[in-house]
Amino acid sequence: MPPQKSEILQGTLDLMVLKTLDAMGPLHGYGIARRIEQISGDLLQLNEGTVYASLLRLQQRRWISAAWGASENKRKAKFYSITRSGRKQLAAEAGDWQRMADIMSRLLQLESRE
Amino acid sequence: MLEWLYTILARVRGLFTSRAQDEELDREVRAHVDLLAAEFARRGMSAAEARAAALRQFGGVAHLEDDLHDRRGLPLIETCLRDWRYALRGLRQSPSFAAAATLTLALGIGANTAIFTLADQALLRALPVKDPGRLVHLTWHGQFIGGAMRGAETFSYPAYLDLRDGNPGVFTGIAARYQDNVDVADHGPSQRAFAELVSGNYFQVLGVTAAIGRTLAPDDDRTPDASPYVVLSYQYWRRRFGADPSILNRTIDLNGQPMTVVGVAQRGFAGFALMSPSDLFVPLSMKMVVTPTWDHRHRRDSVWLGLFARLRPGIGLGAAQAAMALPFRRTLENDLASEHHSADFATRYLRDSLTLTAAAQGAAELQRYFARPLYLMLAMVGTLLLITCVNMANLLVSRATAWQREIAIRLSLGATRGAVVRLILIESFTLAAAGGALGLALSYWLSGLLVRSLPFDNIDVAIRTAPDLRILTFTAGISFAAALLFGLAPAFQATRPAAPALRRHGSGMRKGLVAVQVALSLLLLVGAGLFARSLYKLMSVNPGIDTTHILSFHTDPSLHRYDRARARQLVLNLQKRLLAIPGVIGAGGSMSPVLAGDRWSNTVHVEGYRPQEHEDMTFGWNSVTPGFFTALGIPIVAGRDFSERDAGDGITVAIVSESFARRFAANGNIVGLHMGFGGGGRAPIEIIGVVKDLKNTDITDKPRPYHYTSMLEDRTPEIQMYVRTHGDPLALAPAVRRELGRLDPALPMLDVKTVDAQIGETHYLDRLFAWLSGAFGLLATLLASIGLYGVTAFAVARRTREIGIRIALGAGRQSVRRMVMREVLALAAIGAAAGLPLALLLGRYVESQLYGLHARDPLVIAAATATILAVSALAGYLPARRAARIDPLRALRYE
Repeated sequence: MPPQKSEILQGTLDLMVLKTLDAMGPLHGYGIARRIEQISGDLLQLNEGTVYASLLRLQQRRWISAAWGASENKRKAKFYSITRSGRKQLAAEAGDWQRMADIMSRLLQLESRE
Repeated sequence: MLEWLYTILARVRGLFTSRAQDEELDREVRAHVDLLAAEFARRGMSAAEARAAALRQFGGVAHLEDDLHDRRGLPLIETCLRDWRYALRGLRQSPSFAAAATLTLALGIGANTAIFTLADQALLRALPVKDPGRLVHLTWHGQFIGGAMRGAETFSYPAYLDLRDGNPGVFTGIAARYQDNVDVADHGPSQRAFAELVSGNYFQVLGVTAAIGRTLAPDDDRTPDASPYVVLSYQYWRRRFGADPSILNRTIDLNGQPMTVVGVAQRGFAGFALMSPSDLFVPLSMKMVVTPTWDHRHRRDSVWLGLFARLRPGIGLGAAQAAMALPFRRTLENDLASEHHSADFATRYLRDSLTLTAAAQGAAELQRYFARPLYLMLAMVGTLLLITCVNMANLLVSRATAWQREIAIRLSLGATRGAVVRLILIESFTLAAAGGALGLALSYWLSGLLVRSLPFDNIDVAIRTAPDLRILTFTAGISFAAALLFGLAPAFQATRPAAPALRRHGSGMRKGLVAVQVALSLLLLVGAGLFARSLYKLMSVNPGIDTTHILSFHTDPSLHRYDRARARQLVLNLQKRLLAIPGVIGAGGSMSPVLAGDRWSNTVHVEGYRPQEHEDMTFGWNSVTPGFFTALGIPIVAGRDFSERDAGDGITVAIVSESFARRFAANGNIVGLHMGFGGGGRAPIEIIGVVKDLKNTDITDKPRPYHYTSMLEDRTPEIQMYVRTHGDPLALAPAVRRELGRLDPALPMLDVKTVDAQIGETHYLDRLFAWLSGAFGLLATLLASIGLYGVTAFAVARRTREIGIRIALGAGRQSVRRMVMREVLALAAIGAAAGLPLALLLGRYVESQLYGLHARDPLVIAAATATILAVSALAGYLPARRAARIDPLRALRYE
């Protein structure tokens, strides 16, 4: 069964937003939500509003910055971009996830031998 | 790590931009939802369905916006701000409560801070010198060889040299000082200033440096009259010379003599005596410039120097004192060797001792004078503060009761107890802050007022009235403690779940508080009564002379280049001219003013009298002109007054008081006998007259032996002149001024006042105390009566229904009134009963300040108790009347 609207830890959502901005360049809130939906292949269904909670936190920590600009349909929209310290944070957290994934896979392999 | 800091900063900034950011977010969210809806619409949904789906996908908009709003700022602060605005509104709606609370607190805190500032300056400050804890004061106990200037605190110059050179290494140095008035001119008219003659090592011993230039050094004190240098004090430099750095090496005139300014002392230092600051420092070698009429540097029998020293590190006070016993004894022996004295006197003299006292606060004459009374004042103010606290508590408890409805609503709407308590607490804090701010302003005003009304010179300069940081924190601390105390307790009480029980509880607490108030007010009233009665007794003491018809003033020829002969002539001429003024029945002068607290004395020996083992032969002394006794209206009971013809070379004649005569001569026949100063040997002074005993120093003096010498045979420094008339003495002042001006227009006429006024000044502290304690007593009683009124009114309002029923059932208005009054008086009586033993117990500490009565004076206690009960009755009367007027129909109809 595909995961329902599972509760994702805010921290991991932050990571996803950071990665999105890093990969895609400056985006507005809607764009980020769409991108995350695309990447996770509809497996992740979250309240899109929570993206804004992430954006606020990331802004407060100065990992992303915001600027008003014009969107595709010529309307004013707020665009977010990753900062240098954001990139550093991203690299650090990505590394943590990778390590965690390695340990978990090794652990799970262990059990299956039984 | 840094992220945490950034977040905090962002949140603080968010406080101010919250509204703008709320709007921004709203726009963003709306745009997002619109885009989502458009997407769904594109996939085939209808507009309404698309919108609904979009909102579902997005999640709760309002919830999100609220959540982010909270995360963006500091919600606690926002809530408090909101509560604060609400509290302000509430206070505006009850202006009398707000005013009463703020004023009560302002008064308590303001008075406290003012007195604390004064006390701090007078008692607690240490000298602004290096390591003041190592300084000691040298004090001489016992007989003197000759004349004494200030009693036990002074030494002769040769004695100083003996001690300084004989110092057995327990001190790093012993310094000497003497203060006097001088006239200073800087290319212009001269102005009075206060100079301090100092030994060469003065600045070294104290560890004081120069702000500009240099301080005085031992070289400046080596050769007499060879070092015309002065050092200015920093505040004098600022006040008189505008802090002009070109003052260095400038020559100024000191009593007409040119002196060079070699430096300005470090900021904040104005001499060893904190309470009588010096304007300039002059080396002792230049004494004749400061005191042109007397040079006693070689005389062992003239004591005038104050000595202090710095203990060597590692040496304690006791050890130093023990070590100084031997050098001191050698000094005594030198003194005895300088002149012939009887063996008896020598034995007694050698028993004199030297003591050392800690002197971190410098020469403490005024401070000692102030110390006990100031502690008393602090106690009084503390009690008043307690009363105001109680009053505040009362006010706030009743306010909490008025809040009840509001609280109930909030609680039922889901507010936490903390939120409600916070609301009430914020109101209390606001009141406390307002009260504290007002109190601070009041303290400035009050301490300025107190200091200005003190009758000492230069006190304005010595005591700065600006409250310093410590006092600020003290005041703030009290404010906040007050707020916590009054706000918290009633707030907690009011939010307790059982509402009906609350009311009764609140009333009980209020009654208890009021009883405490009454008790404390009684305490202060008793204090007020005691001081007032003491003052009355003091002022009704017969001064012995007709003080209301004598004018006094003083002038100082020694500062105007008058040598001895010229001064003598001046005195005689002045007296003749004054007697010639119509209405004048006596004129004369003295060196030491009468009834001003001065104690000049000499050790004497009388022909034919052999003093006993431990007999103290030091007696009060004054130097007077012919006509002095007539001016004061003191009868000469034997012999004659001084006259112009008594003009010997040195002191040849003396007049003594009746007590003196009785003590030293058989049948009091002392006229014709001889006496001398010091301890025996020659007695060159002939006693030519006896006068009635006079209260020389203070109106509380008992008759004691006193002797007078003729000013014409002595130097004439300052003279205190007395002019007696039948009418108003002050009306004579212009005529007197004219006559003095005719003799010498340059001589100033200073301190013109009646002797009555002089007595008032001498007893300034007693008057101050009576006034202060009266004010406190009044204030306390007022506060207590407000409290009583409040409690009674509240009780009546609460029991309106019950009283209405009683009246409806036939109770007379009179009996209702009586019922209320009975309760009020019962409460007051309980308070008084609690306060009485307290008053009796604490009376012990006040006794030393009282004159002519005990602290347990029954009259005062009875009067105070009667007053408080009467005031209570008055306070309860209004609510009682209102109770009696209750219309039973209205009472029963409404709740």
